[in-house]
Amino acid sequence: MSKKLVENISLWQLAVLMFTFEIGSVAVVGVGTDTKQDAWIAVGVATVLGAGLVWFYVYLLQQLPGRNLFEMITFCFGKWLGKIIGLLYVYYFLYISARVLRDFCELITSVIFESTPIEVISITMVGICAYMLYLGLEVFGRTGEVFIPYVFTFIILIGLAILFSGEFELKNLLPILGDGFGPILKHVFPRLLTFPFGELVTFMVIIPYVSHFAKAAKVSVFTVLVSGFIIIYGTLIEIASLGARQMERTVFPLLSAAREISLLEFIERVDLIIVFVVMFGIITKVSVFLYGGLKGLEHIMNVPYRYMVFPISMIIGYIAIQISANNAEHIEEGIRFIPLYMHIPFQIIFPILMAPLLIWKVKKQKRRSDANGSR
Amino acid sequence: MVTFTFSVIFAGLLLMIALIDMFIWQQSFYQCISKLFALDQGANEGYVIATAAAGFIYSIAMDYRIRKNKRSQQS
Amino acid sequence: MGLADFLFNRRKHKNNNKITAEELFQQENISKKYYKSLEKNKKQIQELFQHSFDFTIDPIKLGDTDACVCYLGTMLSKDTLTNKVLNSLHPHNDHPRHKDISSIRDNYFPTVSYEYADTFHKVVWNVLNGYAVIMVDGQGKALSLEIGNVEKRAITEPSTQTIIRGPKEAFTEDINTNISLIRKRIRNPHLKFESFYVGRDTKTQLVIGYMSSITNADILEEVKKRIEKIDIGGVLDSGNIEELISDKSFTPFPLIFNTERPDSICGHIMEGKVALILDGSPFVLTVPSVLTDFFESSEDYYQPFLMSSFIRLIRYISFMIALVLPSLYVALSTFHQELMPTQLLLSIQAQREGVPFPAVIEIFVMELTFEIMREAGVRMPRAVGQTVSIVGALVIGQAAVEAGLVSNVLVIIVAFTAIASFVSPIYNFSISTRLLRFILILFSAIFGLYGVLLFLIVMVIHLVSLRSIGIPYLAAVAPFDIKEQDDIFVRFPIWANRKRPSYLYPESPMKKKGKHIPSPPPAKGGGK
Repeated sequence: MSKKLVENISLWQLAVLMFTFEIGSVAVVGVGTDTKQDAWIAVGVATVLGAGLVWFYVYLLQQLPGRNLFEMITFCFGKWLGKIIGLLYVYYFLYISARVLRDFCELITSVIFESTPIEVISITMVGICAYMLYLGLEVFGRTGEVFIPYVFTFIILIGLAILFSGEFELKNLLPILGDGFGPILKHVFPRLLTFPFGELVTFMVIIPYVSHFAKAAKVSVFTVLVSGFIIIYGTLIEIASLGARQMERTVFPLLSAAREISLLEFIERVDLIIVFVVMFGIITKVSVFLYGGLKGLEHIMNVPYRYMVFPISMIIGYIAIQISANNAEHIEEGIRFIPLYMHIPFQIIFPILMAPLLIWKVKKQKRRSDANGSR
Repeated sequence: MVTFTFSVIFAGLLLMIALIDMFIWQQSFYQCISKLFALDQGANEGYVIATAAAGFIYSIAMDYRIRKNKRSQQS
Repeated sequence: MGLADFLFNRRKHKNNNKITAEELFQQENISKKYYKSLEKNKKQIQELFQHSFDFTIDPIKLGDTDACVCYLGTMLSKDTLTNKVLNSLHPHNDHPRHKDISSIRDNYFPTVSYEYADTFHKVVWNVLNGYAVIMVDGQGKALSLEIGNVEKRAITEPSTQTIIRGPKEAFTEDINTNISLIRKRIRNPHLKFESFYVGRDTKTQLVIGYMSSITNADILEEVKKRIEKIDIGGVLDSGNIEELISDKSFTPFPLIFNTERPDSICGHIMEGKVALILDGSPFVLTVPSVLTDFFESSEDYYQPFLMSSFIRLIRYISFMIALVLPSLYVALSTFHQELMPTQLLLSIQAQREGVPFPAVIEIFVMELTFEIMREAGVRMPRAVGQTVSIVGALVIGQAAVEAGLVSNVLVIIVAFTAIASFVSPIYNFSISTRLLRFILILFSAIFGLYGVLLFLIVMVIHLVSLRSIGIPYLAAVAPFDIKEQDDIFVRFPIWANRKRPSYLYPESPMKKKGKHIPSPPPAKGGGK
């Protein structure tokens, strides 16, 4: 009943946030386009691996209940080394949130609102995220709850609408596994695993604040599977309606697919619905990364994160524009550099390195406290 | 402290972008940095620069407020 | 409700939240002491009430003792005063030797309700409340007699929240009538009414009503705390109270529910909410309120559930229409013509051909005109009300289109928006959409559809962050609770609705025990 800011979200809210996080930028840029008509298989493989990865993250968190990623790092590496590593994570989170924001800005300015300056979109979007985070994690979770029914139904409806418009050609899916498993695995490993699924490493900052922490592992793995399923659904739609070659060429496949819709000679352009889904997904994604970065700064600098929300988010708005000169450069960086040199170390290598250290330290602490207790 | 954080994050992220550009496009460090600060003609980069500046001013104001609160609590 | 109880109990039980006359008059410059000498008391009270023509002191003699009756002539019925009090004190009656104040009461006024006032504050307070106070020389306290009340408005049909089926009574300005309207419907000793006095100068009575067996104790505590914190000169309507106790003022949405329908208030009390009844206001508040309350009419529960579910959905849809329709028009016709189906686009553009303004100006002017007409229609004397509708419909609508100033489609949109905004059963929720609509039009004029989406998302974030007496404003939707969905967007049949809303944390969560479903009687064997 108190009026103070409550930093707590329910399991359902966690699931909602994870779900929108997953499908958010996937809906913008599309995944697995390199594997052509087998993209959905690649997504399926990545989903299973991603679920394992998320289970691993929650497993790490369970070793130290109630502490987030940054507190865990400090616990493992001591104060100063912990701060430096934490700062690296902060840079990673903030950089990725700027990238995600840029993805959306490119979508909006190049396809729908051609005359709007990209800077304005970047500022307004990051403003919304900042306002939401300023009001707290709880508000963030609830906003997700309000929008999730629309996001979910719209995605399903778009698929059905394409189907009824007669643009859905199963022929496009053939041949299944024409090139064998090789290209799929090659694509899954650095890129597909890290891009929608590995990014969930940010939730290591949010999951500790879930009210029923014990069930968090089950819920998050389940959510990843469900969202993977929805991504497969979306990919199938894209491949079947556009064909593998066209899908490879378009920058924003889901939007292009939705433009094939034509129902009753009245419902022809549902761009707005796509933009809504994407916009909400992006807001969630940027906010989650931003929250991760802010929480890290709070831990490192010992300043409550709400003081820093506005300055830091304004930096994000600036960086999102400066991050690259144009869309081509932006995507090139996203393919060549980011997965291999940023995602892999922060999402996979580092947590795996940290795991044995963490388990050893926790055991040591437990033994010591046991010894104290018996004395 | 907020201003310090702001500066650290701002400088760090710009450096990061420059390094990534260096790595991918094989340019020199100086080239990358100058690319960041070059104002394109006709682009509206003024908006974002103004926002970033507003963020900087906001952080200074925030610091001032925190210090004031602390002082009033002590006395 | 005995005022004496009310005035004395404060010191004995601190928790009872009772306020004494002393506390009420704390700031005013009135002496507290009640003297034994009649002269001193008389002088004191005459000074206090000087320049008030309706204040009367009738000197009387009880045997050889001096006494006087003082009252405010406008606050009581003079007939009753004469019959009950003055006649029995008439010198022809035989009564010579009663000097003690309690024996005076026993002998002269055995049937009149009364109380003793032992401080001067209380004497003043009783006079102000329409009592006749008898002061006797040499006595340490005065006798206050309750006389019948002054005129009040009869119970009428509700004027702002009309329904087709259901009780037709509405609250009036008199607080006792209002409380009796609630008591009549809930005959339960757990229904409690606690009284407070608010307003430095007006000292208006504010009563909170709740079911002690249902309402959560924390919520009740919080409500009381907020009422005690109220510090203001005068309170004239429950609207003042609403603004003084709500969690946040900078929001277009009403955070506290108000109604003039007793059945609706009873429904809320039975769910575990607290009703706030202010003397002199026919609008009763309930806290905590959630957004969905404003879309529920009490008639929803009196009509078949399928119908009322449908109507409730209509209300939500019309809320959205009232909010976004004009801005969608602006965005689509100025920025995103390609998103409209071709035929529709052609017919809209054909109509807009002769119009000299851009769509934003066009719609802004028309919406503004409509707002002015609406305001004029409310404030105008009833007799000339007809004129507004004629002028509005003919001149503004038809003539403007014929003159080529606005397009036909636009008039349709403005009219439809206006009608849609009237659908909300609670007036002050529908006015919040009026303000938001203008901001939304501005956003769509600047950013197009992106601006509309932007605004809606910000609005939802704002809504989600609101709280009413600590309860999330969007409770049951966000934080989502699947078990509450039987009475939010649709209404399930009454027999299926077994739980009270869990977001109010009621002390007894279930409405009933069994689950009885009405069904036809089992077929009897052996009939023809």
